[in-house]
Amino acid sequence: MSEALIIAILTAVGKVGFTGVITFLENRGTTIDDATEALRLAHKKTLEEYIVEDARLRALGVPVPGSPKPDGA
Amino acid sequence: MTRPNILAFAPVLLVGLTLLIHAGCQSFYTGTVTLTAVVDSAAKEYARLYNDGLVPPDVSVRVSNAHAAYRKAAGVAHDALVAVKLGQTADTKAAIEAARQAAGTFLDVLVPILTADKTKQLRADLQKAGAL
Repeated sequence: MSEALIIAILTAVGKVGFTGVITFLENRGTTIDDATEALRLAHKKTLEEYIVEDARLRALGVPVPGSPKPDGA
Repeated sequence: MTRPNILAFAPVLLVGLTLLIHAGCQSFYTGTVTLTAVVDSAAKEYARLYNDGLVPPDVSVRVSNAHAAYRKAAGVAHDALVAVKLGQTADTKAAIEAARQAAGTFLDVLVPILTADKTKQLRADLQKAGAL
């Protein structure tokens, strides 16, 4: 195997490895446990629960994003 | 000039490949979390519109059905990840893709009642989740 080919392969692997490191650093902390928990919650929460939660927040006077501001506010 | 010993670079190659595979898995999990966050945001928006009385009954039925289908797909994807954690074989990629498809269907049903800006934002977020 020629030296030029070896250098080309190592350069390509180096670039790929570097990209992988950057991607890893950007996404580190998101584990399979995080994904599993997110899916568990997504499966559990019904649309009705979202509606009830929104109504409860309104009753508590918590500003709901996207809702029109009250007069004088 | 002496030839470089290729075996001396084997550890570097191994580390590079390992990092690449690990990075791929990390992106997969990040995409999954992003997907659930997108649907969560859309569902909250729907709830707000529903409580404002802005959702026609026929749309309400379709949205409800679509969300139920998404929840079911999310449950299947959850079980697949749990199986992988337990060391069993499971097609997590197919399960997550099915959940992403169901999420897309849910957003499609919401389009008639969402503002153009919100629709655009949710679609962009969903696309990002799929790209990860």
